[in-house]
Amino acid sequence: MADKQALNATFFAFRKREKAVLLPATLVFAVLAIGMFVGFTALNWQAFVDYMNWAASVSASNATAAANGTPPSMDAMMPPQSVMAIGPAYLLLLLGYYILLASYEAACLRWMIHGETGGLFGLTLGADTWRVYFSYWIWLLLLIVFYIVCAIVAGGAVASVMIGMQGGAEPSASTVIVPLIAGFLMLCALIYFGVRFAPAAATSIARKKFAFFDAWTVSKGRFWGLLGAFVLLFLMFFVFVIAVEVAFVVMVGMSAMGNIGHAEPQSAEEAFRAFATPQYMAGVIAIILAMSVASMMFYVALFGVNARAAALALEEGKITGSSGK
Amino acid sequence: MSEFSAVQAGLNAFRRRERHFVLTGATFGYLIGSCLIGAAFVAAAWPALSELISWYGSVFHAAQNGSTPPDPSLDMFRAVAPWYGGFVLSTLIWTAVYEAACLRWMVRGETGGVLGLSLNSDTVRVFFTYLLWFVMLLAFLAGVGAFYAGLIAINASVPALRTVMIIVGALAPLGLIALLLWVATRLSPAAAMSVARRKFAFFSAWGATREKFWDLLGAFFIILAVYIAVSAIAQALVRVPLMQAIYPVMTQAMHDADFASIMSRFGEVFASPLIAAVLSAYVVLTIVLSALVRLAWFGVNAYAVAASGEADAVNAAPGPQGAPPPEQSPPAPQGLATAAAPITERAQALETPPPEQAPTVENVQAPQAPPVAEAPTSEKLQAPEVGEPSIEPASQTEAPTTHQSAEDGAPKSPPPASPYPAGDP
Repeated sequence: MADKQALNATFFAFRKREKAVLLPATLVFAVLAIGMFVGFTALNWQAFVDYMNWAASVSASNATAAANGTPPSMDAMMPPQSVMAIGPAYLLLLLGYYILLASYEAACLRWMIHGETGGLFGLTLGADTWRVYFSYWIWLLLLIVFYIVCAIVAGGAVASVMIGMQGGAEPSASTVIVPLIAGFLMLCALIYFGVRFAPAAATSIARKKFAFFDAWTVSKGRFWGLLGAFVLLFLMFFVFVIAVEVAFVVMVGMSAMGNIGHAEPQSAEEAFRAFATPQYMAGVIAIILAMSVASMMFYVALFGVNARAAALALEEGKITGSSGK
Repeated sequence: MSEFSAVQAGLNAFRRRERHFVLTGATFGYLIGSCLIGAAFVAAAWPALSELISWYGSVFHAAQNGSTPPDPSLDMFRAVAPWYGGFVLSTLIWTAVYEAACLRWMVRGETGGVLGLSLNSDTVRVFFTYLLWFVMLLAFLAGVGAFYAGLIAINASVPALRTVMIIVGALAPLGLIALLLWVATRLSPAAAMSVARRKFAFFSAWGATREKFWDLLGAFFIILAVYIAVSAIAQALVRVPLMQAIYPVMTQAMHDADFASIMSRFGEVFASPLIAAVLSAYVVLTIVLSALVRLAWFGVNAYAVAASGEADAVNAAPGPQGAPPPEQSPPAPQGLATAAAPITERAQALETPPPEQAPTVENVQAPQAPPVAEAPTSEKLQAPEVGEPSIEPASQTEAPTTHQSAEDGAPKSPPPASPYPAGDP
């Protein structure tokens, strides 16, 4: 086993490599994802229109009922068929989207760990993609387990507080402190297990087989390094989002002030017209683009942290490429 | 000791074996038997059941008319109870027959009876395993009750310990569930161990799972995740046409509350060819999926037994069924020694992996190319089957495949030994 190396994973994804793979893969992913959602919207456009009309009719029906002092009409509460049908269709869209996301993550990890590429700008429907996709399902199940554990702890805390107050005893400080401590411990557990299993998909790519739980071996002794990298990335993303929000508010204010001549709008239409300007729309589009680019960079950076941990584990012999630990 | 892989354990039931359709046949036999048991229960208990159903219907009618629903008669339940008890007992016995058949094949490589199902000593051992599980669960529940009773008593008698009691009470459920999971996982191969050793060996599963707890739990977790994933996708697919068909009835239900006409409309919807076909497909998928999950579960336990080391395998040495352990019994006849050979071979394979072992067989989704050193035979190219399909990649005696070499990108050293020997039992 090689000596333990420093993690230095925060910007691992953005290191200079022999060719540009992550950018084309990201662009293709973005195009395909946007295409999926646009296609879904186009196919279900009538449902969106029906939803708007239905929401308006429910609102009108409630207002009429309130004015007349009668209960609201049950007929109006029933959403149109197209709206009801959009739920299952949306589930199917999500299934497809997560396969695409798994393909993208697999492409990024394959490149960062093994230096391999292939398929449509790195995106394939190969074994790696399905390994990553199945990792998502394991994450979902782990999340469900976590919620169950939370419910058990909360139930235990409530039960113990009830026991503590039996016999008409005065509530003590512990009846407040114990649930708080329990909640804090659950949060710590969530962070700990989340970080320890974070390189699960990267581990599967590194080992070229489904090896979700080997992420525990990969992150062994690197918890603080991984946590630090994740916290740093989250902070950077958070600061960027705040900066964009502030810029957006300033832009909206400037635009509105410029259009309505420093006077209060007299109606909703007037206020709407104040914002319906080319400059304002261009600003909104720019902000959406900036947020999208930042989000993608954030995702790639997260992949990079996990890829670095898995690659180091390979180098150090903590895990092996295709079989055995 | 070889690497115990959670994925390989989860797929163990579906690995390619010498004979095909053994587990499939047993599963079909089990499903048919279960249907017959259910039908026999309904037929035998019909006089008692009909009263219960009539009462259930009268509750619906009362709800529709706004009148008070009639109280259920205790005699109705008393009349059904013996039949229901018999139904539960026969279902348990039948499940024990099925699990014994599957484990016998996966652990010892033996089959027999009708579609592998037979009422023999293995079945009795598995059935007693179920009973012991049930008794242990009751003991656990009694222990939990006693624990909380003690907690309440201490809290009432020693107020100074109230804070400690609150903390203990808050964390106790988590600890108790962790304990339950730990013990259940450690003892999960109890039935497989009994089948392997040809004697009731419930608690020897504890030794077989030493240092394998997390791998076993991971294997069960993976099986559950696959089950949830496939179920969720199937449900999403079924809901699309179902929602389209049910919507008009729901709309009608909002307009008029005529119970009979709404039920009639629901009947029409479910009898329509499309919905009937979709629901039938969903039911079939659910049955197949639950059968696969059950098999995978048995497979994990069989894998744990096979990987449990030489000592356990040797203890499974030949001996008449129900006979004393080998060290107490005279040398076994040749025929029985042959019957026990597979597990002995497995024990040897644990120590000495074959040099020509193929790369690991864990690629869940990776398509496997035919091996270089072996032309694909019609047997290998046959369509996948339920129970033991070709999910299992190349046989472990085969040479590394060109596909795998290309995928891995670099020559690899021989992998660690698998818990299974070269070839099939």
